[in-house]
Amino acid sequence: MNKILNVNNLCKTYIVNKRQNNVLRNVNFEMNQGEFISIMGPSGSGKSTLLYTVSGMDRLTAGRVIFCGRDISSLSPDKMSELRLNEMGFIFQQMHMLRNLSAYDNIIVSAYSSAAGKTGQQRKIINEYAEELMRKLDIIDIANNDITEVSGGQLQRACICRALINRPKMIFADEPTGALNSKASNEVMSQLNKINREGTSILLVTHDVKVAAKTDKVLYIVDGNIQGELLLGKYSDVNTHKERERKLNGWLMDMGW
Amino acid sequence: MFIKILKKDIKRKKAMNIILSLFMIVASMLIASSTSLLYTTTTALQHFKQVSETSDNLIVTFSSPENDRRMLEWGRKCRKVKEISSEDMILALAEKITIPSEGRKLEDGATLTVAKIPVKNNLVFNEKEELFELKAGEAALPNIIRESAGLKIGDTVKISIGDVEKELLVKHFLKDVLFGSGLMGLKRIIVSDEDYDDFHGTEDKSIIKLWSVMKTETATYEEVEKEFSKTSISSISTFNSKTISYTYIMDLTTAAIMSILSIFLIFISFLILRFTIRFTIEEDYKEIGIMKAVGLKNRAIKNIYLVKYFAIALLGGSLGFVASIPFSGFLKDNISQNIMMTTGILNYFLAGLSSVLVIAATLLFCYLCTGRINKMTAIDAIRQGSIGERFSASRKLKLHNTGYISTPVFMAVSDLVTGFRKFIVLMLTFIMGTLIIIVPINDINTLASDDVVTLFGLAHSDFNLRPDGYGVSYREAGVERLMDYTYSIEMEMEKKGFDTDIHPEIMFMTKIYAGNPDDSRNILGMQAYGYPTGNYAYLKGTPPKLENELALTEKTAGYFGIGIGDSVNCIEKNGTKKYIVTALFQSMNNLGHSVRFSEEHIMDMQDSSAFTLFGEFKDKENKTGQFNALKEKFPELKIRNSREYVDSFMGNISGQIDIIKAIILIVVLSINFLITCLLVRMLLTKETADVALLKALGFKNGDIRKWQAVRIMIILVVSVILGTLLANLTGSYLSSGIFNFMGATHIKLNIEPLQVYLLYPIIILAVTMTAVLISLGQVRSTNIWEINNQE
Repeated sequence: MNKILNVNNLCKTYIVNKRQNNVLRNVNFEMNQGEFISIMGPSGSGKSTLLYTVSGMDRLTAGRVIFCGRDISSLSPDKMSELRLNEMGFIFQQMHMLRNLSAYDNIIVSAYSSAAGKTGQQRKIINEYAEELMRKLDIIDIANNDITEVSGGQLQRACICRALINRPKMIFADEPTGALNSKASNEVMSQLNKINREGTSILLVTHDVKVAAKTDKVLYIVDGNIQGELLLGKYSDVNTHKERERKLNGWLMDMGW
Repeated sequence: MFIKILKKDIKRKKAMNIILSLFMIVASMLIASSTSLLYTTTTALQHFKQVSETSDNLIVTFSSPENDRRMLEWGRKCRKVKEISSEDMILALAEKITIPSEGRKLEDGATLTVAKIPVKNNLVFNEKEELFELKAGEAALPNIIRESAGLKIGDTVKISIGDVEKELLVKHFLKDVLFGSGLMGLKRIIVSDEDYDDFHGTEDKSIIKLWSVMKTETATYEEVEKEFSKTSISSISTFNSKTISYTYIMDLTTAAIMSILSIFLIFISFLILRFTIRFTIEEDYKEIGIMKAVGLKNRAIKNIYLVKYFAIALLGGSLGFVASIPFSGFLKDNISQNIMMTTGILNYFLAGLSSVLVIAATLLFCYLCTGRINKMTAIDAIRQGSIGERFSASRKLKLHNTGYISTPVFMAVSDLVTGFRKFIVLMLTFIMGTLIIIVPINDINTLASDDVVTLFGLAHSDFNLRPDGYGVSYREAGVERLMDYTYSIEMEMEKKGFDTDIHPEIMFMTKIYAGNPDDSRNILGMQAYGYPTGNYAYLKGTPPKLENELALTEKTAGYFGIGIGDSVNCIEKNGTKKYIVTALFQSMNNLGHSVRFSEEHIMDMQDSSAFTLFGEFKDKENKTGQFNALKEKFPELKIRNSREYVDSFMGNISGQIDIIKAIILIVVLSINFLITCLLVRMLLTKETADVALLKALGFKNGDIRKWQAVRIMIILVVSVILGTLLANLTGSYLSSGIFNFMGATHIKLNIEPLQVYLLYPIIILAVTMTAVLISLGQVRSTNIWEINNQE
C-alpha cells in the first residue's frame, strides 16, 4: 500500500521559562493511504503536539516527516500553506470559525482561496460540492445561519465539511468529538468513517474509547513516545463495535490507561 | 485575590496591556502638550507686548524742526495724552546695506532704519528672548532679514549712510514687538550708541522719529488717534498697542492653525481613550461572566477593572506628561520666530493638569463601560452579549454571492460591514487629519498663486519692477516725470526686443471721512496712470472714471457705514475734496482699508507715497521665458513676478505658512502612523485565533496581511476622500475669518487639483499604509497553535 505519512525520529522540544521540555522523543510511525488512525494517551503525553507537528502546523525540533513523499520540514512557509490548503484538512476540538462569515461561507472560504477557486466556473463547482457535503452531513438547513445560531454538533459537522472542501488526501482531527454529546459524537464519527471509506486518510487524537474503537489502528503515546499500537481493522459493521471497544479497553489497560 | 487576578491579567494579556499603555501615553502626551500650546498661543502676543513695555500709541514722522516742535506741542496740549517721547531712527536704504563676504546687496522690500537700543519703551530682545547690549562694531538685525537675506550670527554687514560706511558684526537677531512682523514695512537695525552717533554725524541723512505716546487712563487708543488726526502734522504711519496685533496676523494665523491642531489632537486623544477602554473591556466579557458565575459581586468585578485601568492610566499619564515637554517645545518653537512665547510654570501646571484629566477620564470611561456588568447575567457575559438567537436579518455579506472578488478582499469588506464600529475612531482620525492638512494647503496655494496681487486690490501683471532710488527721486518731481520715466523704460525694453506695456501704480496714505471730520481714518490710496481702472476687479458697482469718483474696499465702506452712491471726503494737501463711491472692491493692503482713485484724479506725490511699475508683455506666448529673459537683461531694474512682489511687503508669508504646513504634515502623519500601528496591533491581538485558523486552513501570510491591510486601506481611502472633499467644500468658510481679517472679504480658494486630490492624499495613504504593513509583521509570528488563544 502507498504510504501517505512517514514519521522518523520526530522530536519536539519547548523551552518554557528557560526550562527545556521534550514533548516528543524520537517518535516513529507510518500511515498508509486510506488508513484511519487514532492517537490515544494520558493528558500531557504529547498527542496534540504530535498531530500539529506531523501536519506542519508547528515546527519540529528534529527528525523527518514525509507527507505524500515530501519532507515537510524542508518546505517554506508558503509551500507549507499550499500543502495544507490543497492536501490536508483540519478539524479541531473547539469549533473555530470566522465570526464574520456564515456557516456556508466558512466552509467554502479556503476553497475560494485555492488555485481551483478563482474563476466563476470553478466557484460554481465549489458551491455545488459544498452543498453536496452539507447535504451528506445533514446541515444544509443551516447554510446561511450565523455561526452563533447553530448547535455544537452542527458546527462540528460544518467544520468537517470545511476540512473536506478541497478534497484533501488526509484529515487531521484533534479531539473532534471532545465538545459534543454522545449523539452528536456518533454522528460526527459516522461521517468520518464514511469519508474514510471513500478514500481519505484520517489521523485523529481522542480520549474517547468509543471513538478510537471506530478507527483502523490505535497508537498509544506516553511521555512523547509511542508505547504501542493496536490494529483493529476497518470499521464497517456497527454490530462489531462492542467487540472492538472491549478489545481496545483491554489493550489500554495493559498499556496502563 | 484581586491582586492575583490582576497579576495574571497583566501577564496573560501582555500584548493588549502594552498597547493600552501606549495609547494612554500617546493620549496623555498629546493632550498635555496641546493644552500647554493652546495657552501659549492665545497669550503670546499679550505677553510679548507686556515684556516689551509697548507704548499706547505710536506715530512715525519724518523729522524736521517744525514737525518735531508741533508734535511735542500736540503731546503737551492734548488732554488724552499723558506723556510723549521720541526716538530717532536714521533711514538706511536697503541697497546701501551690503554683505561684504558675498559681495551682494541686502535687498529687502522693507524700509530700513538704524537705531540705538531702546531703553524705556518698545524694548527689543535677542534670539534667546533676552535684553542685550552692543559694543562698537556690532549690530542686531531684524529677524525677518535673517530669513530673507540668509544671514547668521557672526556674519558681517556693511552699512553706508551719507559719507559714513561701517562694517558691523551681526551679533543678534531681534524680536521687536513694534517692527518685527512681516507686515510692518518699517524695520530697525540696532547698533551701539557709538556707531549710531557716527551715522548721525553725517549730513546726508534722513531722520525718522518714532513718537511713543502714553495715553491717560480714561482715554482710548482710538480717541488719541482721533485727536492726532485733527492736526495737519504729516505722518508716515500711526498705530497703537491694539493695532500692533494686526501686523502679526501671519504669526497669529500660524498660532491659530496650531491651536486648531491642538484641539484636533485633544479630540482625537479622548476618542482613542474611550474606544480602547471600551474595546478592551468588551473583550473581557467572557471572564466577567465567569467571575459572575463563580459568585463575585458586581462591585468587586468593577473594582478589578478600575484598579487595573487606574494603574495603566497612572503610568501612561505620567510618561505622557514627561513626553509632552519636548513635544510642546517642538511645536512652540515653530509657531513664530518673531513673537516671544511664554513658557512658565503655568505651562507645566496646565500640562500636568491635563495628564491628571486623562487619568480621571480613563477611570470615568472605565466606570461607564463596566456599567453593563450590572445588567448582564453571567451567561450573557460569557456569550459576550450574544444569546444565540437572532431577531433581525443578518447584515453579513455572502462570500458565495460575490463573484470573482478575492477572498481576503471579501473578508476585509465583510469585517467593515459587520463590525464598522471598531473602525470609527480610525476613520475620524483620518478624516480630520486630512482636513487639517488640506485646508492650510489651499490657503497657501491661494497666497502663493500669481493671482494673489488681485487680493491686494491690484490688477494681474506679467512683471513689476522697482528701480534703484525707489520712491525718493521721483517723489519730488511729480507724476509727469514719473510717466516720462515709465515711457523711457518701455523704450529701453523695446530696444532689447521686449514689447511691453508698463504703468506706474502709486500708493500713498490719505485721510478719509464720511460724515464727521473727527471720524477721519488713515486709508491707503491707490492710483494707476496710463491704465484703465476697469482692469481691476470689483465686488460691486462700476469702476471710477471721473475725477471725483473712487472705489472703496468693502471693509472701509463698512467702517464708515456707506455704500455705492454715497460720498466721502478726502483730506488732501490743498484742502478737503468730495468723492462719490462708484464701486466696492477687496484688498489685503493696509488690512483691508484702501481706496482706488480714478485715472483722472490729480495726484500730489506726497512724502509717504511710493510707486511700483507694473508691466505686461504684448506678446502673449511664452510669458515665463520672456520674464526670465527680461530679468537677465535688466538686472538693475529688479524685475519680479507677482509672488515676489507680494512677498516683498508681506514678509514671505508663503514661506511662513510653508513651515506650518510642514509641521502639520509631520504631526498629523505621525499621529496617523502611531494610531494606525497601535490599532492594527490591537485588532491583530484580538484576532489571533482567526489568524491562526486561516493559517491552519492553508492561507498564506501574504493573504492574511492582504485581508488586514485592505480593510484599513478601504477606511483610509474613504476617509481621505471625505476629508479632502470636506476641506475643499468648507475650506473657504474655515479660512474666511483669517482672510476677512486681512481684508479679503470674498475669498475664493485656489485649489491645486494635483496637490490636493493626488499628491497629499497619496502621501497620507503611503505613510499610513506603511504603518499598516509594519504592524502586520505580527502575522508572520502568529503560530497555528494560538488558535485556542484568545486574549
